[in-house]
Parts: sequence; structure tokens; C-alpha cells
Amino acid sequence: MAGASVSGRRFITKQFLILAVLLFGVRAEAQAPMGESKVKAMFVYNFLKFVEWPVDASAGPKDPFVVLIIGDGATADATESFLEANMIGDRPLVVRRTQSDPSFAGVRAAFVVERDAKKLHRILAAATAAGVLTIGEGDDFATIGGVIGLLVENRKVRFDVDTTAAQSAGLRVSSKLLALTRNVRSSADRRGAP
Amino acid sequence: MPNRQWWSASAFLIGSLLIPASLAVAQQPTPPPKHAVDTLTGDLEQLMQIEIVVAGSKRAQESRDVASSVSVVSAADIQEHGYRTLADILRTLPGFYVSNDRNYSYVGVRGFSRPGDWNSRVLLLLNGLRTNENVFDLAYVGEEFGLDVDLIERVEVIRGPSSAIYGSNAFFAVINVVTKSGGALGGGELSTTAASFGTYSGRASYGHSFANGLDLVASGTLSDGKGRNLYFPEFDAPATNNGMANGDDHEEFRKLLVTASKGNFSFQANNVSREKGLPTGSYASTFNDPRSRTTDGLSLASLSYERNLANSATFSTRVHAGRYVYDGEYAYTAFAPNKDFFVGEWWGLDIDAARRIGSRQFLTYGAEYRDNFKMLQTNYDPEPYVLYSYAQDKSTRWGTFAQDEIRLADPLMLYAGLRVDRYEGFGYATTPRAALIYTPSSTTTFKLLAGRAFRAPSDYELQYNIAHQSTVKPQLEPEHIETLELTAQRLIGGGVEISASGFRNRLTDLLSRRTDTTSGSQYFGNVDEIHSRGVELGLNVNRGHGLSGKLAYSFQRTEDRAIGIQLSNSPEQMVQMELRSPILGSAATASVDAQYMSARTTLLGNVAGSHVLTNFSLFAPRTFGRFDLSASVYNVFAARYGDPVSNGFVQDLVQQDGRSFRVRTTLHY
Repeated sequence: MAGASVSGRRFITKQFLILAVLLFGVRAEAQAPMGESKVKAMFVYNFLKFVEWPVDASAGPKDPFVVLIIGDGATADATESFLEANMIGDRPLVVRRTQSDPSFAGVRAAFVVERDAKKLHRILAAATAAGVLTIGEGDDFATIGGVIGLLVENRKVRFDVDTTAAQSAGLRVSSKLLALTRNVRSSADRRGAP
Repeated sequence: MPNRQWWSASAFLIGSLLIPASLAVAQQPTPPPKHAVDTLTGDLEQLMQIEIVVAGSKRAQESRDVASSVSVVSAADIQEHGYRTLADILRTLPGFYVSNDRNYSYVGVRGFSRPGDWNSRVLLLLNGLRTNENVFDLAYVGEEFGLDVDLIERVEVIRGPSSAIYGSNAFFAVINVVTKSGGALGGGELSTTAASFGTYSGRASYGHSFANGLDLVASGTLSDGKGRNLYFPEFDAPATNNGMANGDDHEEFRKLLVTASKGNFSFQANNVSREKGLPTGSYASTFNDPRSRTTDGLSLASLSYERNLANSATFSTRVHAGRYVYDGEYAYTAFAPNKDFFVGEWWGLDIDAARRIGSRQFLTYGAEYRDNFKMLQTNYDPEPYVLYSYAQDKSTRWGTFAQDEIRLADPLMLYAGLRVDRYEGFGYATTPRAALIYTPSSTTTFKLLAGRAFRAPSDYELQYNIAHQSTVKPQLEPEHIETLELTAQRLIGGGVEISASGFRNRLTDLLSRRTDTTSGSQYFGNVDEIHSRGVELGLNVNRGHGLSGKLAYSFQRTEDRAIGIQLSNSPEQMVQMELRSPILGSAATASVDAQYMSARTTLLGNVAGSHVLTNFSLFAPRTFGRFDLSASVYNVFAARYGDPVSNGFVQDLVQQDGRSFRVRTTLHY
């Protein structure tokens, strides 16, 4: 095995050089840069279209779709203004903001910003119990009970999905969304094999 | 047969419509940059191409994982392609193939498949719980698998040796089947199926996610199949009904599943019992005797507790128990009927934990204990009672593992893992694994994987040598595999992904059956050495909506070192194709999947010719609001082919099914 990893490292070094060159080519045709918070807000909006909620008999086809934003920050602000300007099918999007102790009554999705781990854990647990789609930031978010975690990798926005958290909330994440996901996590693949 | 022409013609028509369309998709260049994107809501795929300005205070990215090399088959794939069993699912994956001896299905991985090993070289998990039992260490992938495939949320397949994490049997691959949650089922389902050869089955399921956080699934499936009348030229003599096995291919099964989770706890239990007639006259039983049959039963239950701790640390533990029963009745003309009766019972405890170390490392570690408190193998004639062999054994084993994920540089990750297992009987097995993952851009990944895996001798193999009259009784040791693999993946854009991988496997001390030259009886020994190498190329097109497809080519050479020739039941080349397109304005989906396999040799050195298996399905979800309708034709072109089988058969090759049909209605309520 020792021999294998030595020759492997040599190969990788060479690949690294070749790809560094290729990378410039890729960069050249990359798109115009945009603000991180704006792009993330657009992702949040798109996630709402790729998640299925259990059918709620009391909700009409044109009733407002309520999204709760918990906490502050640039992404929270951008998400609020972006969502308010859009609709989900025929349903207007209504954004509510709160700082803490959120009530999830009538809420379909929540964008969560909370730095205190204990508080975050409580919020996510309550949101899951209420069948709310939780979206947050950071590569931890979708491993600590959140459903979708947004992050930036190589200057592009990526996202992780925890399908177990989604299932616990009674949500069904479309396979189309999962196909674009960086990491699909569930309790079954907790061992995270490469 | 006019029918045949009609099917050939329509399948050709569909194929010729779909294939050029898919090529057009594949050849389409990367979509031009959409500068207008910020005025639109943006398509997700477009959004993913946007480069962002990282805010000054943004902390360094700690990407813990890169896109995994796991192949995933989703519930939608299963429904739309009309896959009937796990075997149907696995045969569509690059490097995988399946053969069948009209009793069990055998998974081949990267050129290795040994009918008669009952898949003990693959680890099969159900929601992360090991399903390989403790007598043969077998994994069921046909109808004998313990879950109705319609309850599958997804199947994750990890290629290569994973003993460094999972221990024994994670030799060629780990297959994890994840079941649907109650929330995903969202109510009741009643499904009825009618299929060729007099097969009728029904499933009733209920799933719900309650307001108090309880998620519940309960499901039962019953199936009864008469099977075909089959002709075997090997038995074409007046004394053996001129080679006709009439009414012996029947298969009946029942499957039950219950899952429940609330808060940090989750529970699952499942049970399968399948009876299969034996049309082949295997193990020297009388050909075309309706009394010959096998019944396989497996019951598993587990309770898990999982907790997320601060700083992204996690802890989980699982206690589980299982029971396996194999009851084989073999009829003989010259002797009394003979019976195999095997029972395995076990319980075990798993503990897993994960935590971050500093900003660049993530450590996963755990331990497993398993107590095989019953391993019974008996062979006897019930009437008049004669006991031929009786072996009752017990064993315990434990394993402990750790895997560290280290970010060496921004685009470079190192995985290093080690597991130590202790088995009663032969002591310790140590298995290392390392992987380097290099991600130069978000669309390109290179992986270099090196690892070792082992398979401990099964209780069946250990006891076989004692029970049989062979004078050779070697001390059995675990067999090993060493793998080196290099993989490259690139997302071209427009939902098109290409991948290529090359691998080399070295199998040593392979446990194989040999014949003792003095007594003529058989025994197991650590005798074979097998080398294999190959490449796999893949093209995936997933446009999010509309047409999607996959194309894979694999080439592998698997050689028995002692004789220097290609291993039996090992195709050198395979091509696998899947295409799926919405039809009738997205009211339904039409799907085609096809698998080509080059010629294989049999145990006796004969040739099983190359073949193409083509399947076609139509699926209409939620027709009239609550009915899912599905219709499938399997082996559309009625390709004639046989699979090589083990030396327990008179046949060297067993002919597979021709064209067959299935229709299914599922009511949601």
C-alpha cells in the first residue's frame, strides 16, 4: 500500500499542474460576479419550488405561502426582499421576520441565522416538529438538523441536503434538487464514505 | 409470432426517437452565460454557475466532503423504470451485473461474480443496518430481499473495498437501501400487480408524519407466482419428462416493514419469507419433482438513538437483532426426501461518533459488537428420520474503526481510515483505506483510492469442512482484496456529467470449493488468487425536467492467476443505457433501459453468449388524482441468453426469461 500512495501523490502533483492551467481557461468564461447574498436569496426561492409539503387541506391554491426569517444578516435581508417580489405558482410569498422564540404556526419554510448552537438546535427541532423547511448557511447546517445548508465553494454557491431532517419534517425533497446537491446526507450514511 | 414483431417495431421506434434526442442533448455546448440572471428568478443550474464575490469577513470554507462517488438510484428511477427487485436496480449500475440460477440472484461487481457465494462479498445495508446473515453471510437481491422495492427512497452504492469502515463482507461494494419515511408516503397506498407467468401481488402501506413528531410506516406485500414451464436440454430423456420442468418455477413471498421514529430515536423491523420451487434439479434432486423447494426467511429489528452535539459532533448507537431461517426440501426418486434446515440468530450493538478536530479535520470513529448466539446447520431425512449432519455453533466478534478527513489544501482532501476486527477462531483482521480527493473546480473531481478489505470465512464454510468426509480440512483464514482506483468526474454544464475510472483489484486467499482427490468429496480452502483490472466510462444527462439518460461502458479483465485465464461468469465488456422522457404533456413517463454483456465462460469452460437485455416502461403518476399506473415489458426483444451457474447444478448454463410483462395500479388514499 505504501508504494501505491507514493506513486499516487506523484500523479496528483502532475495533475495539479495540468489542471491549474485548465482552470484559467474555465475561469475565463465564468460569469459576471454577483453578490453572495443575492445569489443565496435566489437559491432559497428555488428551493421552495423543489420541496413537497404534505397536502394541507385547509390551504387554498391561492393562499399566501409564509416564509419566516429568523435572525439578521445580509443573506436574511436579501432573501426577504427577493421573496417578497416573487410568487410560488399562484401563491403570493409572505415574509415574516423574527429575532428569537419563533412561532411556526402557518409557516412553510424558515431561513435561520443563529450563532448560539443550543438556540439553533432548539429552533431546528421546533421547526422540524412543525413540518417547516429549514434553510441556513454554513457547511454544518445540514448536519445538525437543518434541511438545506448553503455554502460557498470555489466562489460558487453550493448546498447540502439532509434527507433525514427533511423526512423528519414530513418534507419530500425532489430528486432534481438532490441531483444538484453537493452532499446528500442522511443518518444512514453518517459514516460519510468518500 | 406477430406479437414479437409488433414489440420489436415499437421498441425500435421509441429507441430511434429517444437516442438521437439524447445525443443532441449531450452535444449541446455549455449554455452561454446568462447575464440577465439577476433580473430573473434563475434556474438552479444557472445559479450554480454564478461566481460570487466573497465578502471580506467570510470565514474560510471548510468543505468536509466532495461530491461522493456513491451511485444513487432514487424512488422515481424505480417507479418510472418499473424495477421489480434490487437485482433489476443493480444491473443498471456501471460495473455491476446480475446472474440468476432460478433460485437466487447473484451480483457481479467489476468482473467478479461467483454463483454459489450468495453475495457474501457484498455488504447489503437496510437504513444502515447490516442485512448479511450469520450462517452464509449472504445478501439477498432478488425477490428474497426483505423489502418491497416500492418502499425504497433511494439506493446508495459505494464501489470498492469498505472494510476499513464496515468490516467483513464490504469486499466489492456496499449497498445501502434507504426506506421511505411516513412523511414521504403521506397516507395509505394499495397496490396490485399482475405479471407474466401467473404472478399476482398486492401491497398495502400506510405512512404518516404526526404532529407530535412521530413518523410511522407500516407495509405488507404478498405475492404468488406460478412461474413458467421450462425446458432443460440436459434432462431431455423420457425418464425425466423429456427435459420439461412443469410448474416447478413457482415463487411465493410475503414482506413486512415497520419503521417509526420520534426525536432522537428510530426503530425498524422487517421480515421476509420466500418460497421458491426448484425447476433445475439442483443438488442432484429429482428433476421435475414438485416437492423440491427452498424457503428463505430473514427478520431484522433495530432501535437507534442519534444525537447532534455542539460543534457539529454527532453520536449514535444502535442495538439490533436478527433471525435467518433456510429450509430446503430436496426430493429424490431413489431415496427419501432430504432436508436442509439452517437457523442463524444474532444481536449486536453499534456505536458511531463524529467530531471536528481543529478547522481542517473531521474524525469519524466507532465500534461494533456482534454476538452470533445461534448458528445451526442440519441436514436430515424427515421420513424415515436419518440425521446426516448437525452443527451448532456460536461466535462473537467486534470491530473498531476510525476515519479522518483532512483538508490538506483548499482543493485537496485526504481520507485515511483503519479498522481492526477480532473474530473468534482466527483472531485479528486489520484493514486500511486511504483516498485523496482533488477538486480543482466545482465541476471537476479527481479521486485516488487505495484500500484493503476482507471477508471472514462464513460459518457455513467453516462447518462444511467438518461435516463432509473430506480428508483435507484446512484451517480457514479471511480472504483479502486490495484495490487501487482512480476516478475523474466533470460536470460539463447543462446537466451533463462525464466520468471515467480505472481500477485494479488483487484478491488473495480466496475461499473456494475444491474436490479432495482421495475421497472425492468437496471442501473449502483459501486457494485462489485473482487479479482484475478495468475501466468504466459514464455519461449522465439530467436536464432537471424533460429527457434524462445515462450511458456507461465498462471493460474489465479478471484473471485466475493459477491458470492465467479469464474467470468464469466474468464479461469483459458491458454497456448500460437508460433513457427517460416525459410524454403526454408530462402526464406520464416513458423509460427504456438496456444492458449489453459480452460473452462469459462457464465453470466447465463453455461460453454463455453475449446478449442485450432491453426493458421498457410507462409510468403515469396520480392519474385521476390518486392512481399511479405502470406498465412494463422486460426483455422486449426476447433475447435468448443463459447465466453460468455453480457446480451444484447439472446445467452449466441456466436459460433466463424471455419477454415478460407487468402491469400495476397503486391507489393513494
